[in-house]
Amino acid sequence: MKSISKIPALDVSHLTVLYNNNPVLVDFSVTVPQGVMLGIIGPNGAGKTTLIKAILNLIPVAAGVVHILGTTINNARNQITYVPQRSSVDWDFPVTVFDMVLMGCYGKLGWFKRPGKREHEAVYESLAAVGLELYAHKPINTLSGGQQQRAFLARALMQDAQIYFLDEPFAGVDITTEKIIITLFKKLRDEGKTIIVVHHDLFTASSYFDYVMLLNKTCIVCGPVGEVLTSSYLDRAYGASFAPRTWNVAQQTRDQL
Amino acid sequence: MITMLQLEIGFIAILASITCCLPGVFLVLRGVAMMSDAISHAILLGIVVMFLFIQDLTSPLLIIGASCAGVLTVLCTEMIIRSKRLKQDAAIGLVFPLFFSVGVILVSQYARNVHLDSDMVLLGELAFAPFNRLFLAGFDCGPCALWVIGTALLINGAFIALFYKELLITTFDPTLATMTAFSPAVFYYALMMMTSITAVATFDAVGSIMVVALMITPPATAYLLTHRVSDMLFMSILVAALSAIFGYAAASWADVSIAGSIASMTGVFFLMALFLSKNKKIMRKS
Amino acid sequence: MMLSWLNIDYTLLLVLQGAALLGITAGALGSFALLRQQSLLGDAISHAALPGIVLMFLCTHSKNPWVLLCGGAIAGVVGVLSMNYLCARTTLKKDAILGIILSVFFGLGLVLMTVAQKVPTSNQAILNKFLFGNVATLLPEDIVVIATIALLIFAVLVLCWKECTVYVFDPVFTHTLGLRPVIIETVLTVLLVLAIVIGLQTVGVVLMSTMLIAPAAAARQWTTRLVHMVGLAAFFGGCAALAGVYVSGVVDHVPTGPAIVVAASGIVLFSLLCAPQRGVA
Repeated sequence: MKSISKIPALDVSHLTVLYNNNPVLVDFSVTVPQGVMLGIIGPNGAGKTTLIKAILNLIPVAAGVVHILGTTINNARNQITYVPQRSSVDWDFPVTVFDMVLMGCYGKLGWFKRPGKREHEAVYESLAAVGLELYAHKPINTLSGGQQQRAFLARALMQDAQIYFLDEPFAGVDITTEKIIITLFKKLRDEGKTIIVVHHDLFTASSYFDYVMLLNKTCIVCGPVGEVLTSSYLDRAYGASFAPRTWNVAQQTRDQL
Repeated sequence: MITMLQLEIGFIAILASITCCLPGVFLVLRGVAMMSDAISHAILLGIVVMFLFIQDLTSPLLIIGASCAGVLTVLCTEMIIRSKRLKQDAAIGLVFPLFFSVGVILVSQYARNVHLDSDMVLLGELAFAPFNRLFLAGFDCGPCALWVIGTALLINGAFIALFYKELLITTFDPTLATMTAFSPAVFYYALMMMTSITAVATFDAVGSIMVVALMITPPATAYLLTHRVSDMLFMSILVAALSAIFGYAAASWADVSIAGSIASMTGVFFLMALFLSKNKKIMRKS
Repeated sequence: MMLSWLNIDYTLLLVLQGAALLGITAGALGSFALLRQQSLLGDAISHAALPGIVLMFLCTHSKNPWVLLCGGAIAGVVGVLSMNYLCARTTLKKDAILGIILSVFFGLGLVLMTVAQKVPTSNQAILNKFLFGNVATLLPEDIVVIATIALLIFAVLVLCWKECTVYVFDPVFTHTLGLRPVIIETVLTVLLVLAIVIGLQTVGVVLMSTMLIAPAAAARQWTTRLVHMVGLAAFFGGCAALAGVYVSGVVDHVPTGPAIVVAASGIVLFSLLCAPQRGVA
């Protein structure tokens, strides 16, 4: 394992985000070390996607400070990559998988310059890493949901970032894709990168991630999976409607699989 | 036997078609195709206002006035959309008729005797274009329209060539663009500026309706037939040029409106693409 | 009397009546178009009507505007059907489809117009009027026709009120209620085409979209209940039409169509700026 710097990957202090004057995130504070696979969990409407967008300065913030790798988002931009939900893009757009993945290198190239042989080779490598080599020159509207997610990941790999933010990458994907994604995440983490994932499913979190953040408008807890996924924290995140017994049964079933 | 005059008209028509379809590709891809309709109507106001200041119908300043009107239209539309009080289609449908109406009223009040009427803005007059010639140091350099449209074509072509990847990424995935420090807003307004300049440069010869037809229909035709934006650009240029050639030929033969004929011809090519792409199963599965 | 004090003669009175009827009808119908995000559909349909008008002229050589407008209505319906077909069968987005139908149909209309110019009995002026509208030629018989169409539109709206409202808010839910969305869609589209047919006489092709959208957009800012919105939109539409026609009639060199548009836009601007805060659209 590569030695990891002590600077936290993410340091959020007292973040507050409003939508139409309604608080979505309130006084949110958390510190995430580098080199972990972090799953962000919470009930629907808890502010998971909003948190990511606020951290990345994609939506306005009412209060609070965010540091990424010890500096501001603008300085850290070339160290970050963000993979949004699949619905954020028009899959009828006339580009091939190759074209789409190639876009991942545009940031590094900067203005005016064109992608060259090196970038083209990097695309093929990224596609191979996600198992989409055979689809390189197919239009993106021929991809299945899982393949779309993998294409998004290949594009993210092109950016060669330190921190990966992903929004529900496992939602609605097939088993093959799921396995590919997990293998990729583990490889990246072993290289010292940080993976931060908004995850849609509480019950699979313990098997995917080594760190978990529970949130519901504010940060309930963030830490290694075993310490965090206890009933007291889960109650606070999911409210009184949460049934601990269901959780234990699910936990056992998952462990058996 | 084709006369020199016919050649000149044909050439102007082809140039105009290609100039229009270039920004049109990105308008269609962004889903704001109707902005071409909005801008090409709203420029009347810019032309009239500038004319009232300088009292000169042939000045290139008119182009600047018209371009400003185009960008102003976009700004006002965006302002309304951002206020969240109305959606995009309503905002577009409100702003440009207002600008156009004010333009028409100003013409009726102050510029009645001038050859500047709303008919002209809408319909243009390609057949008369070659008679307005550019004289430099005594040399006949050809029709004015050729130079004006040619310049616009150069601007459009250069912009797309220089900023192809920026245009691509800001159109396809604005979030990724923002993350990689390419501003989607900058390129949106740049595209609108390009559209305004194009509409202004071409409307005198071909009128707003042909501008709209050429900005939207050849790119839409290409969209049905291609899978990549670069192919879509080349196909649009081809379809636009062919529409101009065949449209003009048909208009000459039948002695009908040239602009209308070219606009209709874009429709013919679109229908052909519709039929062809059915065989390729490009169509959405119903 | 009062009318002569206001400088209103008999012709102007006719025009006021016609315009008011249009304003009220278009305003009411426009509410539905606005809420279904079909604001530019009115623009497209009115442009698409041109070839129908000219073809009707070429076939019948009639100078009666209503005969010609029948052709326009048919062309408008063909335009809408084409749009629906393209929407269902291709991945093209709505805006591109609107633009294609608008410009290609209108281009065809231009071609036919130049054909019509060669016909000995043609009257270019009549056809030109459809481009920019010209209420100055309204006759009492025309008012009767306009009023009849307006009445028809309102009657249908009142009869099918609940179907229309449900469909506008939630087409999918409408289906689960056992109502056929396609039928309601067709009804609303036909009403829209009828309103446009009236509108082509007053404001012309270019400015028709404003007549549909502006009153509704203004009304939207003041209320969230559909029935109030429709009523308010009708009211605003009527006011804008009256104001525009009046100014155009008494002030020299102010064309009618643009005057109405400016009045309607003024109402929208006032509403956008001054209406009390309401919920997100």
